[in-house]
Amino acid sequence: MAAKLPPFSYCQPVSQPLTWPPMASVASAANERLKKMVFEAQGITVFAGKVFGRAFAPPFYWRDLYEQIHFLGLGSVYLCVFTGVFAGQAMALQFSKEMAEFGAKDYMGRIVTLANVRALGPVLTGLMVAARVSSGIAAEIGAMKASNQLDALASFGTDPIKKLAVPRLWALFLMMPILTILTDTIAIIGGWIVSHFIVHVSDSLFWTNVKQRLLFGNLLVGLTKPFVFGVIIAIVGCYKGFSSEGGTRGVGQATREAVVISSISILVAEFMMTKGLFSLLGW
Amino acid sequence: MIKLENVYLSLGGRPILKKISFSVAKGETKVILGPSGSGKSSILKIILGLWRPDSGRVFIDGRDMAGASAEEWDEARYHIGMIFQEGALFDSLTVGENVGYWLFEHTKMLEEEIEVRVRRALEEVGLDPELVDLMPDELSGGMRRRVAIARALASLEPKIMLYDEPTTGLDPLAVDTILDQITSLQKRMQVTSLVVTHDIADALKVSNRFIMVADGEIIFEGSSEELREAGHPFVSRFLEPFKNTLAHAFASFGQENG
Repeated sequence: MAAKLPPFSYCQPVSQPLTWPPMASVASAANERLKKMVFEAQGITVFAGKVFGRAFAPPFYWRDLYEQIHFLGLGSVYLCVFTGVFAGQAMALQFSKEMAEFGAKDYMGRIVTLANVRALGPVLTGLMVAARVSSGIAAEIGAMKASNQLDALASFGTDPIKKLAVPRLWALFLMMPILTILTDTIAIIGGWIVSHFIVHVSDSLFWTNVKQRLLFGNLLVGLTKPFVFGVIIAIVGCYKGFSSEGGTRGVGQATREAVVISSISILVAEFMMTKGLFSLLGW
Repeated sequence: MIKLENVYLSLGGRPILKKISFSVAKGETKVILGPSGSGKSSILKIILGLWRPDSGRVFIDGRDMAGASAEEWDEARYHIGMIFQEGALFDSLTVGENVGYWLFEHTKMLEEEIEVRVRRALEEVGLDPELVDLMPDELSGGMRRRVAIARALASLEPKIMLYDEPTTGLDPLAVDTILDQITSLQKRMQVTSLVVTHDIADALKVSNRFIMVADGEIIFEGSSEELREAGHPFVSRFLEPFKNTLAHAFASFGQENG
């Protein structure tokens, strides 16, 4: 049976002229996409409620928590180091030219610290960990679902959400702030490398500016976000795994969607949290 | 021991089971036959409490499970073992950890005691206890099914065993081994068994009582003789591909059971 071409296709036969799709089909596709997003948001919210409801009651799977801290948290350290080094250096390099024009290169330490601690560090850490971890969680749980392992768990009196989702939630909730602190630290050191070797700012001036910007307000803004980002990554990854359907193809789709949804959610949360925390601090 | 009354089930608006009513007596083995997608596995999931029917009643050991809580279902499942398609072993655990899973998770038994029970369970299903350190993907399909049976035996005190397509995808020798395990278990432990399969020849090796499901409905229930004589057009169509092997299978079953 010949495959049905979508309304607009780059693979249209030469004999047929290229035509724009009718507005009705574009509107219909957009409507379907919007409906899917709403249902997805609803599903994730309901699932999050189930996970939170089980996160504080026994039994606690300590061995699984330890394993997840190791795989998800410690396994992401190398990613955070690379991210911090190159992001910190790149940012410092980008700002150095503009700051030199204004005669403000001595403030490099301040800018590097503010940008990384408040925003860049948490967001980049969140996005990199989401890409690595959310997909892995969705793939692992999705594969378990496809091979009836989730049903087998339930048949042995084990709640699959409690066994699989809760340890991952706690592992990311605990490890994301630590990974973010690591990224921030490495990024500031990366900024120092650029300041010292390229911009030629004195080291004492750089580090004095860094210390001056490590204020309670900046730390509150920068270290509150990783807790939320960790929860987002865990909930979205687990939800996509538990809701995957259609065998291996479904698992692949769930993996991709987990990364996309986690990443977008982190960016949205970043903006909303920054606005909220700034209001709280009276900034 | 197991009784379903007027069970209806739909998923995503699509009807899966319609007016399913049957019972399985204590110590009896019944086979649920039917084509793929007819709802056979769904019946097992309802009996295990993994899915709740839209309406109807499910009795396990005389107890109506319709409004049972999660804790009550956990208690009921302590006596129900299920062998899923392809075994459903936990692929991040070794064979030994799989077989002893329930004991590790739900009891305070010492590791040494659990290891003894695990090894005994593996021997009961004809496997070498030295397999305990292997991972599931290092086993053949037949061995994985037997480990799944050992997992149910080691963990629970099953009064009911549910088998979901236990021989699908296996070679003839492995099929015979699994079917022998099922009949041996039934004779030794007098468990009530429900076997789901689409292979009539395999079905005849484990039981003389059949339920045939098509399109979510029971279209036949009876013995192997009644199955052979059934005039229902779907039953005749279902048995047609097995015509050549069935005559021998029915004759063999008749000889084995007098």
